[in-house]
Amino acid sequence: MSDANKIYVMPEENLVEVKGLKTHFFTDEGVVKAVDGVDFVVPRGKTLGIVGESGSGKSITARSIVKLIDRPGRIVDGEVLVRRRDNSIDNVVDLPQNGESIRRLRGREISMIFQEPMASLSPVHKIGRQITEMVQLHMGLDKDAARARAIEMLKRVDMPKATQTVDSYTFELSGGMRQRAMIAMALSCDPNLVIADEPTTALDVTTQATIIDLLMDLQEQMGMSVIFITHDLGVIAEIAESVVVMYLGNVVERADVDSIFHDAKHPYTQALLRSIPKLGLEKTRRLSAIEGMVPHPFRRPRGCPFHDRCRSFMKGVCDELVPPIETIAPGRQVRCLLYSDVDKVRAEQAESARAASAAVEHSEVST
Amino acid sequence: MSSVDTQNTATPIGKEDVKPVLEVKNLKMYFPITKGLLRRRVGEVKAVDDVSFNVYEGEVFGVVGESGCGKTTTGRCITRVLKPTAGEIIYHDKRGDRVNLSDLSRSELRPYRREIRMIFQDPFSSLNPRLPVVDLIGEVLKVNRIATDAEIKERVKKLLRQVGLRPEYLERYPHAFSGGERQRIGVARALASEPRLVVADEAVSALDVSIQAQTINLLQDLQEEFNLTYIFVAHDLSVVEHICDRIGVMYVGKMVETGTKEEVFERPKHPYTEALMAAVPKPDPRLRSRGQRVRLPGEVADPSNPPSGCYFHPRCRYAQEICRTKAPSLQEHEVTPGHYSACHFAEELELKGVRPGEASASA
Repeated sequence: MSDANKIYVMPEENLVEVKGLKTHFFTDEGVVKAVDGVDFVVPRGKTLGIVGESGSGKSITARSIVKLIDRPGRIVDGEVLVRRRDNSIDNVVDLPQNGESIRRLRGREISMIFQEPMASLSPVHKIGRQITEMVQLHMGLDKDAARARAIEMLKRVDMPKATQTVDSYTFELSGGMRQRAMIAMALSCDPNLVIADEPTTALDVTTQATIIDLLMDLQEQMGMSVIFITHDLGVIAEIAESVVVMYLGNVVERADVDSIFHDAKHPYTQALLRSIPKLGLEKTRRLSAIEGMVPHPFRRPRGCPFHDRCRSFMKGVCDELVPPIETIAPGRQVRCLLYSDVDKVRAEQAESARAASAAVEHSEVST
Repeated sequence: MSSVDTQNTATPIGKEDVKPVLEVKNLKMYFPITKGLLRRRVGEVKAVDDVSFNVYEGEVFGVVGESGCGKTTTGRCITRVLKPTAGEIIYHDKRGDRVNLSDLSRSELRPYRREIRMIFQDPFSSLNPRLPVVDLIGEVLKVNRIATDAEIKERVKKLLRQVGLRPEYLERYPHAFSGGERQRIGVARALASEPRLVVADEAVSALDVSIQAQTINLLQDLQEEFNLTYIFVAHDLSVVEHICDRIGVMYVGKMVETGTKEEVFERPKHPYTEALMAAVPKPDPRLRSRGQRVRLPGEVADPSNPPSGCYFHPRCRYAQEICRTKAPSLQEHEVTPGHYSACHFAEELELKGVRPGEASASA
């Protein structure tokens, strides 16, 4: 990761490209491969949904994009290419952890919205102050202009009585209002990309619906891209254009939203869709649950991490070979051996295993 | 106090012979708001305000609503974790005797604590981290004198098997289990005393999608096996639709609509129910509803300072003058047999529910 001067290219319509991202956590008990091979692109002005159960690595993926990974975590491999405001392309992985360049990226060009507004808003500062601080820092506005910007943003997120709310503390607001304040803050510097990490999970359905509408309206007006992380397939169906399904640190399927819901390829995606109760569609008494549970990160199954819960399990294949990501159509990828040439994969993995063991020996000698 | 006419609640259609297990009549639970050193009482939060409903043997009664609507408080009153401010909670015990739980003292409640059990939402905070499974579940058996010390181990093993856990896990502590497994321990704890009525308070809300489906299936299997009656408190309408037979919708401490699942979901008669259902995201991108949905303006009313008349009127798009002045009564609006709606216009409004096959039709 030393090619700081390398020139990166990506198609004009893409804002972010993540390639082979691996973020591991080096704990005392062992290495947790929270993100272990993630690829996706975020086109400009579009919404990418990342869906997965807890422990699938979706939040760590998002945080890796702005390099918000604290020790013992580290991005160990891969590229996160981000198109900057001046149209230059940076690989975030190469930027110094807390250097000037990445700090200009965070908040200014890429901002985040979290599940729990109180975790990202300060309880001892007024809402307005928290927005103006950011605007002053990133946009260089003076105090009055920053305050005007804060009020403007609060109005934009339909905060009732914005001119008064700007002087309120977070505890004076309801959950939905806090979420609006956080969205106002996230959008105040006119970012290119908003990463929304389960932003509606803690909210009631009626509030969730208004917040989703709001985010989509704002996207239309301001043209930013959105990465929307959620475990709720209903929300994904509502908001995303393209979808990434994650399981145990891997992207198992990537497709446009319609294909995910109507032509899912990966057995995990299919199983997830079967297991959710659907309003107004219930015919069967029993839900088709996925057997077992997400394995503990230290007890990752050999081969395909989903094989022991999979209905399409192929003995001698899925429990031995790690499925590679296969492109089955433009923009459609699936990581499942059902769609791979098994013999070819077997040969390749035997070869790379030999190479890896040789490399380990070599590096042990050299260190 | 309002009228004590409480022959209001829906019976499961076609099952008129089914006996109620529980009759909740005009239940009120007010929490005082105090101020200053002397803790002067300056107001009260009407968490549950005059709620009545019946729960029949062998059914699943769902209580739905947004946070702060009083659904959890209702559940806690029924299990008598809380002592209600007013109202009756009449429980029909095994022998068919009626007993009003709301008046009973701690010691008088004891025999009923066995029969009415609770499953909690958070499997992480509801289990004592310092007790192994055998004690977590065995405690219930011991306290209720169901099993002798010698029998406890065997009983716990049997319970673990019933909820789908390996009996070898007997000596493990809660931290060694995943969220879904812990919730199963919670279910085993509830079942240990052979209850008749189980109040499941958001029992599957904290679980992952795949685990949620397993737990729902488990709860349904156990219900069949032990002829349980559930009160299923939840905010997730898709889950409620899947598991419940009858439903009560709550808004700011009031029951605004009750009826069978089919009635309430397909032909809602209260504008709040309509809005609530419209807000549920549908897992099909071809049904994207932005722009066409009913969106609720404003926020849930403050239960310590509710609006006049119908509590829902400031957010209701059908509101008229009478809604601002007069509170509608659930009992007075029986739209179809067993389907009640606390709305002045319950009989006139044409509201949109969820139609079965709505999604597949367009797919």
